[in-house]
Amino acid sequence: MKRVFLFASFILLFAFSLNAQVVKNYTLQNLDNQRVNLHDLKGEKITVIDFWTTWCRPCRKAIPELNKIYKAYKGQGVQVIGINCDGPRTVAKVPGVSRTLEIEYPVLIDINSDVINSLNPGNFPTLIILDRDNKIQYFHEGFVPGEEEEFIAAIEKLLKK
Amino acid sequence: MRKKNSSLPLKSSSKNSLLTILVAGTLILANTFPAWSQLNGRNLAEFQIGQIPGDDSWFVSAYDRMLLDYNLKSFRLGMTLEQYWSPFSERNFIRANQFRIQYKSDKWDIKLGNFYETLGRGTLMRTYQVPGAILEARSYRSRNYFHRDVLGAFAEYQSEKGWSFKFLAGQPYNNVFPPGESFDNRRPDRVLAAGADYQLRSHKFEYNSLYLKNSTVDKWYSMVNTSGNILPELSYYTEFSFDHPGGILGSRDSYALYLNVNVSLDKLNITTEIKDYSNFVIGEAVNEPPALIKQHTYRVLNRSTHVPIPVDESGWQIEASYLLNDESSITLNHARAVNDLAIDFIFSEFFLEYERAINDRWDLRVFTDYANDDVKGEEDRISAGFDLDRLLKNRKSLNFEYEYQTFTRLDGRATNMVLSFSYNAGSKFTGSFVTEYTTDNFLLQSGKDFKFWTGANIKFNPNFRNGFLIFVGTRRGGPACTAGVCYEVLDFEGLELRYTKRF
Repeated sequence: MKRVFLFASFILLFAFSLNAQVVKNYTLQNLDNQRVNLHDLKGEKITVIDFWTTWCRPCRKAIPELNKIYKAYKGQGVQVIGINCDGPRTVAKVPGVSRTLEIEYPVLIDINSDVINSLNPGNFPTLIILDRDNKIQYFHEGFVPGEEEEFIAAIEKLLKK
Repeated sequence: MRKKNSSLPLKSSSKNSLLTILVAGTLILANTFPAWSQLNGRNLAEFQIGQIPGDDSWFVSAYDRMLLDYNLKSFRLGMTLEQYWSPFSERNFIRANQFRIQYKSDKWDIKLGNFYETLGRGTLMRTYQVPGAILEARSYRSRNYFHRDVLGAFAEYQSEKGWSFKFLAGQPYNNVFPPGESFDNRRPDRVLAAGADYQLRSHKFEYNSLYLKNSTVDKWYSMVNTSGNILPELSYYTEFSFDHPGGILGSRDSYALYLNVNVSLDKLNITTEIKDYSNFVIGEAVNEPPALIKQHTYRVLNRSTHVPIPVDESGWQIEASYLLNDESSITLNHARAVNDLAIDFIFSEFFLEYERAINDRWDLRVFTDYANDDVKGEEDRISAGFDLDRLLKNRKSLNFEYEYQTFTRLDGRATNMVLSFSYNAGSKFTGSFVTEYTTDNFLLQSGKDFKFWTGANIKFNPNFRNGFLIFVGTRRGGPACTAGVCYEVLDFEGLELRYTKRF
């Protein structure tokens, strides 16, 4: 009975809904092999961060849509950043895949999983939208075509705030 | 020799009380400083009713992993609670498995407790966690989250002039042993590492030194690596790790060499990697040199992977991808690994994939693969298949996959097949049906000529805070590679419910 109670207590704990998480400043390598501070790249109003890997198929489907969002909103204080989460096994393919997918927004490589481990997503891609204070205002795991409309709606909503 | 369980045994109510105090304390902290602080976390709970091969009957089990992190300005305080319950008391555990204190500013990153750190491409040191993966070893039959961390201290400083320095001391986790095992079994190695790197325009130069001590080894290692972009279209990465068996200038009988060159010519991208590993297994669980074998998403190929043997392995991987004018793409991959273990064991693979959006509604991927794998004794392994997506209205879609594989082993021919059909409603709902078939003698019961696995999955994410995953049926196990890490998954028959909660 104690076991059941203990197990249930962990589950019930999650009834709490707490403050939005803040994404701290991390220093990562970009595709030009230069060290970049994440916060130096952030948008004036909103930052969209896409966590992706080269081996994840939905990630590759999401990227062309994020390219469109980047082009449509870059003049409105919105920045899109791709944070690649490939490990040592596949990270060598990041520059090639980024070029094949014609990614236009900045791509940073989180080979040590520092940023992704601070968020603990369940799968890839994971997309977050930060406000000007770096607080996560939108969180989305996975991607199927058409969901870019949800991202746009979330951006529009935040821009109106 | 395995030692008896000595750390935090599962029997005392005082331990349960301690966990309750830890959780409650964190919640109180969050409410004490609500304006500047935040508490967030994630919980993964999985219930199973069923059995794996070797069980006499079905049984009920529950696994739970909860991460709690409390942030206050530049500080972060966190813990991971993990528990497993089954009718078999020797498999069960409840542990506060990870504690972490971090100070993170623009220049400093200081961590105490459990942390992850990879040096270079992992030839000297590699840690990781595989999102969402729960490990169940046939020998221990306990379930634990698939991760490999370090317990100790870490400090990194980034200067504005291109320098970066790091230092760490700790004990890496050998995840072969579940949390119920003794601390000494789980963390047999002690490491001390220090390093620096310097950034000069688009080139980076790095040196790391690592000291290892365990019950049998007391050794120093070094790693040098350089990376950079010679041209926008040409980049390189080199890494060389070696030991110092007889002092700094001693003879080097262990080393790991890794080279990578990327070339982009308009819509053609070529990635070349070369490896040469000799006697380079550091401790029980410290390093993991890159495999240089493609991580496939196709099931029959994903489980047919080659796991590197750093005792003696050399080889290469070349991947070329070309984007055609109609936005379709072709990917070619060739990998070769040679293990000199008294005799040469050779793994060789050729992979070709074509991907195109037929129109706004149809999306197709086809592949073919030819491989020989001496370690597994698989000759003339031929694989082929396709993956077809049909986009419906309102973000709904259908997916159909078929994969076929055949190879020769010990004068017998084996065949594997996978058939999958799924319906998706955005990322919120997926219903899928997967059936697998094999004639592989290694997987058949005596007297049987074939075997089927058939299962249904339902995934439902009503919002980003809650996610449900239900599996019912039989699921094929075997090697699986996720996030660049390969591990063994056991067959399963029964019902499985996974609930993830973010808060």
